[in-house]
Amino acid sequence: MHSFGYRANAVVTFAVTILAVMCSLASLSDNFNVPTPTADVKVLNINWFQKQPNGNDEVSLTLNASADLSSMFTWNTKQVFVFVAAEYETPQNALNQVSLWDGIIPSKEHAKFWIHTTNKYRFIDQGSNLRGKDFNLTLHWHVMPKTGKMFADKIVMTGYHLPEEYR
Amino acid sequence: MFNSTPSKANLNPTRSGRLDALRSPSFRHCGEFSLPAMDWQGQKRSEILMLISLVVFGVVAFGVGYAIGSFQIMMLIYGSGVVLTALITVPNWPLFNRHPLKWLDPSEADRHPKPQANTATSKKKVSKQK
Repeated sequence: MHSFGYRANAVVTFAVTILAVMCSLASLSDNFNVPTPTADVKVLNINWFQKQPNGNDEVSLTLNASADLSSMFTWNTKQVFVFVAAEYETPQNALNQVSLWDGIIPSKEHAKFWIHTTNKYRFIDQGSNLRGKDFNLTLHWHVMPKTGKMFADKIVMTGYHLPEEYR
Repeated sequence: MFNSTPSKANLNPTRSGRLDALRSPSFRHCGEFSLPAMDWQGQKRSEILMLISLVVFGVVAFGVGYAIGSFQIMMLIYGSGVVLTALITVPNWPLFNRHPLKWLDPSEADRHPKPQANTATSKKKVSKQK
């Protein structure tokens, strides 16, 4: 601690070190939070179901998704990224996951939501395996922190079915 | 080390303090104004104060932030704590200069020359300086 510059450097360095410790503690405190989310997705309508010129099946759906994700917000949460994906099996692929819709929840107040929309992203198969296909809809969430570890999880909803014929 | 009184011939005691301040960035920007450097006791006190102050502000900031559930409040308390600590411990405040060292007077030092090394070669160079 000899000169002005030496002390200024010491203060800044030590302050940043303590800041790093505080941020890791904040991230660790997220582990004490036990989220209890609820979600429900309904397929209201199959708008159309076609085979594209390149040979791939495509579906357009109208979805109604409602969820309550407020329990996963902590003091260290910046936002929650949510997306709905369709999962199914084909002879070609053991697991296909197609993202249909996503959104960002910026705060706890917006975490209890209800949306009625057609699929934001196109539901296209690799091939033409979708006729009469049973599929799951999964609601995934990524809890993005202000500092530290991101938590991700999902809810799987089963029992959805595509039509036997194109329309 | 903090309690010794070294002798430094040929150095004016108050000038060493101003030399130290000359190296500080504040002197370059503030024109003629400069504070004399801290003494050894003051440096020690300043360092301990800095360590304790930053840790306390860190703990208080985290505690309050976690209790209220506001990350922003935690950052605000800690940020202002860092600025406050820097303002108190970094500049050469007079309160850190209460035990200034009494450097040996140059004329006094000249009367007590440093002992010579007694080897064969030293007999050739008998120098009064150092």
